[in-house]
Amino acid sequence: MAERTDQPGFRRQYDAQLHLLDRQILDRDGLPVAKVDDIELVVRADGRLAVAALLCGPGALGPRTGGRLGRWTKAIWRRLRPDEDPQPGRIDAALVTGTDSAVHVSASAAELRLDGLERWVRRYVVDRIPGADHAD
Amino acid sequence: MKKLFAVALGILTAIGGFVDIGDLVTNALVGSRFGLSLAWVVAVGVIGIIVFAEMSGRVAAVSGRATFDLVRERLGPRIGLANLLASMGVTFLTFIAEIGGVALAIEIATSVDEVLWVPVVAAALWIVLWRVRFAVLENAFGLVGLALVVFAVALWKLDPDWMDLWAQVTSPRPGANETWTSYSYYAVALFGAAMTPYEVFFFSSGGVEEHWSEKDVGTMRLNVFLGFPLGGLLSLSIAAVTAVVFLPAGVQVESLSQVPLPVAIALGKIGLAIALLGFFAATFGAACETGLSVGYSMAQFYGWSWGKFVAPRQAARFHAVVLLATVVAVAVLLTTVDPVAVTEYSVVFSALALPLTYLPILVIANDPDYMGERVNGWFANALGSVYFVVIVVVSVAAIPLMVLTRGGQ
Amino acid sequence: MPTDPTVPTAVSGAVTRHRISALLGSRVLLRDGSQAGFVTEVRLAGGPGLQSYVVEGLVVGSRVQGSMLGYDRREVAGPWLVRALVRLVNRDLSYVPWASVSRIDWDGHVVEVDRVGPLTDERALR
Repeated sequence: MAERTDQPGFRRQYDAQLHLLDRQILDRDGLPVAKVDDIELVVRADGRLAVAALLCGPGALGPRTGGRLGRWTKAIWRRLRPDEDPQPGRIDAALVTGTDSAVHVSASAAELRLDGLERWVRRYVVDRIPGADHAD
Repeated sequence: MKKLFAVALGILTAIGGFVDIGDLVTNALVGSRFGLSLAWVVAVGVIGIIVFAEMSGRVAAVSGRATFDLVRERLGPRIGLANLLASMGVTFLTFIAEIGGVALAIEIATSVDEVLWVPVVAAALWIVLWRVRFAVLENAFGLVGLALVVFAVALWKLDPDWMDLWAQVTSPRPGANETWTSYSYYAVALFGAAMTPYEVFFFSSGGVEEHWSEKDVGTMRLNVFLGFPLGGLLSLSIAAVTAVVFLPAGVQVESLSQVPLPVAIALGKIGLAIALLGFFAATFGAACETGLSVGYSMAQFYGWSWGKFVAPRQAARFHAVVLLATVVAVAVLLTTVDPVAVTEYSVVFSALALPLTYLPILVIANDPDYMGERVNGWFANALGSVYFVVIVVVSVAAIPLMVLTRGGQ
Repeated sequence: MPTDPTVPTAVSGAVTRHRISALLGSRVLLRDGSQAGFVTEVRLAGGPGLQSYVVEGLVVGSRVQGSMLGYDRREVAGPWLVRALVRLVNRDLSYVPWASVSRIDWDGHVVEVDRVGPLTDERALR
């Protein structure tokens, strides 16, 4: 990724679809984590809806894509999850350090634990091939 | 001095890397049937790819983000997904064609059937994508691809009637044996071959791989403004030699083995060998680009880590997609489908998919959120708008023309 | 009894969470039951920290897929053709500030509002 020297801050005002949804999430090292597939709002005591978390993964994107494809995506994703009522990948809003063209978070990709598929593929496919840890 | 060398390398790589199996096959075929009467389409297509490659390169340099990365942000998940499927589909089709093209090039050289070479080529390709550094990959195949200059040399050696050739260029109409319908169909095919969508995915993703920043915009522009037109001339020289050798004889180019024949006639065995080397480099390089582009588009849509600049285990899903694409491509080619036929379909479907790729680029290049002050100027926008209309017209015409001409009969 | 109005409200022990995608595309109904349009955008403001941003208002458009190409404001730079296309799609946008929202039916995707006002362009905010 190109080195960004300017510290990303927050906009005074966000339009969810324009500025937040479908944006790339970058971890504290600038590496891609996921896209903002949906946003979780929570009802505060004063009745306002506050941003609670960024939601990622097929559990979040499926319903948003909508239509039959979206429902199937969500159904398949639920099947693959061991829990009764699986929650989609979640990044707490407090972890967001700022936004420019992407959303930056303070944790590393590994800490966020959103990468189930990545770890699975890494373990069963990529790591089995020699040279998997050799960067360009 | 070092800077000059780097700039020259970039331009030469752009020239040699411009031609892929789609350009090879389509230009050769068009030259043998229409002479140079469709040369204007190549010119229009080259200018088009210059306009959009510059835009996507600038986006990559200024925002640090690649094209497909931003497509979903602008189109939303639904239309973005449709875009992904269509773009990936076309790029994958092109990928199959390129691998087939490499195998065909080796077949011409060795007389061993291309189907037998397909697994070998695919294995070599995948190893290159896995281990070879991105910069080396780009430069090596780009430079060796310059061997295709032998077509221009052959043209000169064949001592054609230049006035006649020029007359063909300046009379943009089908000849006696062709109809306006087939002429238009091949115009669409040539345009699709010049403006293949994967070019901009690869170009902008490559820019991010190489950590371009705003300082690199100037060099990027040099590569694009000098490299691409010269690459276009290379394509035209292929059309010209087949026009000189095949058109008068009424022979249609139907297989890749016919394409280097004019070079063999003009320059003998050495010329033929150089031409085949050029084929190999151009198609192998393009196979690398399309293979990576299949991975780029999917990874960038879903927000996965991607690219060769991180270790493969840090971009496991990306590499798995590329591996899977390679395996499926081999399976398709092992059904003994004719790679030339696949190529012809890939260029027409590229033409069909053009609006999906280029409209988002035009929009993104105008967005100060990503571009800051380096948004499109009025000139880039004027050209972009004109080309957008052209692209839509070509896209709409592609399938009807394909049906009417029954695939270019 | 929570004294801090900014904490999430707990209803029988569980905090009420919603997806913003459930709000986008919802039908907007006025008090008399007539339809004013669809929610095409949710405006958030607040801070510091993203967790302190709250829904400030809703942008309402006449069609569900309102925000086209990210250009849902009147003044945009860009090629004439794109601007013309965008203006065509976003002809009649209006705005509902939070105070005018009376009820949100999250499951039924309906938002009931008191009134709908003009959308003032604030694209230049950074």
